[in-house]
Amino acid sequence: MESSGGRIGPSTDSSTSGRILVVDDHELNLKLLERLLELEGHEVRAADSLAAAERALAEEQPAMIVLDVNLPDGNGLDLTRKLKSHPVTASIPIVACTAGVMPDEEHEALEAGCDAYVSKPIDLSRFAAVIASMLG
Amino acid sequence: MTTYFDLGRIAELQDVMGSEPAKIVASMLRNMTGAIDEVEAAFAAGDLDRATQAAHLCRNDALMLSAKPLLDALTALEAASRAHDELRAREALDTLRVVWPATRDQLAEAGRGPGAGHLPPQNLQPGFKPDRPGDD
Repeated sequence: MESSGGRIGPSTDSSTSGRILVVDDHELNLKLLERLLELEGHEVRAADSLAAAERALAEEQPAMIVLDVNLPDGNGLDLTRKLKSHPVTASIPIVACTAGVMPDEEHEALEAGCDAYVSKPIDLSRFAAVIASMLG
Repeated sequence: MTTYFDLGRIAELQDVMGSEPAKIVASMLRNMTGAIDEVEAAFAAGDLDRATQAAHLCRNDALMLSAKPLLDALTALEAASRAHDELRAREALDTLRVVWPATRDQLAEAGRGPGAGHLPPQNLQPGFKPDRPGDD
């Protein structure tokens, strides 16, 4: 597993991609999100852990991140704070997508720097609208 | 809507993912069975953090299915485990032990039916036996 203190963001600023990075440890959710975004015409890169997300971010800067908050190797909000505090990655829109049990999770996600919050189960039309508004 | 989950959710997933309903159901059953086994193992080991993670993973599937009784039990278990409240967590586990087998059996039955993803909900009430080749 990679350290959460590892490098964030691509090594050069020429590696910006138009892809959306989707991070979720739940296999079916990951496939569903991937498919939804592909149906909207987006290219997608999938990661099933924070470590895999950090590896992807080290290679290229995505156009957006759809991020599950509760991951087995850490909290997605920690990654959000790190990305939002880094000048290279601060402008990447981040959509938190979670099946949380705590009532203030949306507030926490937005406070951590997420640009939008979508709760699970995914409302298909609302999700598409949120993504469109973020990329608009 | 069946007693334990919303069959319409499987049809929605099928529309987006293009998979056969039986494959979606099989995947969910595999995920949930593994997660519930992990919850049991975590409680046997007295590891509430592990139980939290396993319950959370299973909640993803329960949310996807709108499986309310299962979702309620998992939500209570995840919240109590996260708070390290073992007494409440064990109460929720007792509920889960009642709700999960019933949900699993009804889901398995739905997955066995031909064209299960499009069966009208009334066909999936308890006691319904889908027609299968050779059953007559």
